[in-house]
Amino acid sequence: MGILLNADSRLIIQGITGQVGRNTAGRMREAGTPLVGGVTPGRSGQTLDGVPVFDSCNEAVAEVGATGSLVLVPAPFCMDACLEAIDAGLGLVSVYTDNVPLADTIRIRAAAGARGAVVLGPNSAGTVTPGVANLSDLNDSFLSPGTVGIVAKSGAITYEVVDMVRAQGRGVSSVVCLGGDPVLCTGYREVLEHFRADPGTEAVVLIGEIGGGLELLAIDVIAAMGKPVIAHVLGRHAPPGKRMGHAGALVGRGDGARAKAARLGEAGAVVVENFWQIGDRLARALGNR
Amino acid sequence: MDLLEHEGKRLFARHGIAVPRGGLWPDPPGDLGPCVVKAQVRVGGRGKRGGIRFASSAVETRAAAEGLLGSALGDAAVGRIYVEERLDIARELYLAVMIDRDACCHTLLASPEGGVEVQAVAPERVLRLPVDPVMGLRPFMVRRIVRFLGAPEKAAKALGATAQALYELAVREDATLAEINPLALTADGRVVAADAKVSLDDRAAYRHPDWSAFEQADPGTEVERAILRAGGVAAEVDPEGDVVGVISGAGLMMATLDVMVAHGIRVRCVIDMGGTPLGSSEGLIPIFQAAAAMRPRVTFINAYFHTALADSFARGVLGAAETAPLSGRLILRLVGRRSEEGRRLLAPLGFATHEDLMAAIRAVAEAARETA
Repeated sequence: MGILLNADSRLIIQGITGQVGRNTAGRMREAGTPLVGGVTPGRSGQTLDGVPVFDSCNEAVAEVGATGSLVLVPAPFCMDACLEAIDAGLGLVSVYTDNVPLADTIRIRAAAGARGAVVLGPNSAGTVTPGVANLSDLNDSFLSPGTVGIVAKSGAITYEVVDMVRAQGRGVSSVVCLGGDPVLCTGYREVLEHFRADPGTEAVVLIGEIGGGLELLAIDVIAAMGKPVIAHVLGRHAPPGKRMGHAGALVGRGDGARAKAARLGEAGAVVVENFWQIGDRLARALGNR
Repeated sequence: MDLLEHEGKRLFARHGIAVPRGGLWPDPPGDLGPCVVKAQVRVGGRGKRGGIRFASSAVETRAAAEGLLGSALGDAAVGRIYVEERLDIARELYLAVMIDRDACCHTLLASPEGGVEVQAVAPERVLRLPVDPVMGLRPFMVRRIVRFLGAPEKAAKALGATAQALYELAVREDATLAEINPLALTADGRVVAADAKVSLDDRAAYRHPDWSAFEQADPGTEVERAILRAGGVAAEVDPEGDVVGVISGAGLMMATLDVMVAHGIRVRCVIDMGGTPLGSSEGLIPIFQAAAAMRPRVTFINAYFHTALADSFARGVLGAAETAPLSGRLILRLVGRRSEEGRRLLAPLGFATHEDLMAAIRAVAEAARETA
């Protein structure tokens, strides 16, 4: 099982003819992800890594039945690419592009909400359901299917969590990366709702971080989750007022790591104080399940 | 980018928001009469710090301007002075539009209590109005704002127009904050922006060529600015710290800092390399230079790659370290595809190499102790 992606997913890359697009297409094909095409305006008729290139998302839907997209276009064209994907009826759009103007993100999210599409990012490492489909920059060779869901803003931090899960002899249902920007199209709340409804997910590891309040918007979902949520909030020792890598990771009022962790704990999450103990606490929460 | 008051007011005027007549010292309009002399700095509490002075004559204006110029307000040196007409203010209101990151929309804030920090105003006296981007700011919302502000009848129309203009400004100019505090109701019924605080979204600079006319502020420390220029992000933590961490990714940077501090390590600075390690060693050189310039006792590289290849990163490190040798004891934790080869390549450079994060952290703690 897993969330957002399934056996019927048919994925495309917007910006497939760029350097990153080509590399990603190659990697996806190698790993057996259902990549069915790419979109670069003005480049239809080409074939790249065995998949057709289309002029538009509409064509990709009509010709190869695309359902989801990875957006790898430069920031000035990103909003248009996302709106095009949403307008063509794609249900999942993962935005890897960074430096997207916040006003554009606001419009993308509004369109996604109106059409019922899930947009991850901007500046997101994407999502993967091991063994099913990979729309992320995680490498399939490090992943094995299982029952633990992972949601974080950062991509690289999920590498560590995947390893911690594996060290406990378990695999991953899905990994979802929300992105590092201060304004994001999808938050923890929506992802937890998907994990809650997924019978293939037995527990969720939630990695929060300083800045903003997306973690706190999820607390009523955590309280009603019916399965363990193991939560760790990054940036406990971040100096105040400093931007910690992500543009959105900056301590403001009441959004420090300790305050957030406390609220998540009150909602029923298993709060892990020390990053390295996530695997151990996950194993304890799951027991012999 | 945070604008200076006079820059913000220029934007206001362009969008039809009334501002007092004025100009930069030494060339303000000559017929202002009684005026306000204002230091152009980005620090808060400008009035309380003495950065705003009143003058009734040309002689007083000159004295105030020359007294302020070159003085210090908080951390900021006063480099520019703005002189504008003094308003006959009947009431001070608060009006702002900001991007609410959690609600993912522009939000209008209004309060009948202007002229003080909005955080100090009782919550029930501040109207927070999220604006659905599909709707935009509608007349019914504007009426609600005007009612909440309790403005006199004759100012209502101008007040509504100001709210509308401020919202349009925020959206069209890619402002993350456009704040008027105070928004003055004058004795003769005008609605005038007595101050302007505007922050622009740097990501949108490509579509605003006119922004190049604004004075750039340089936030952060020298090291942080150098790393930003190199394509990474740095956070200086403790000037007395022993360890500089050079890390792949923002989340891992925060985790590495947290874990080091939890192990009693005093951290000088952590650096997220950003996309730089994926290119050649050229990208790493300025990062290594900045790291070495802090003269840490220990330099800790913590990198985990799923997409990039760890051995090509290691070759980049080798090349960069030749031009920009790292400082202190060297500890490397490298994981990912072909990381065994990567660790093997870097051992001759003097790196103690690890695969396990916690083993590497313990080695960093020990090295910091031994060299203290």
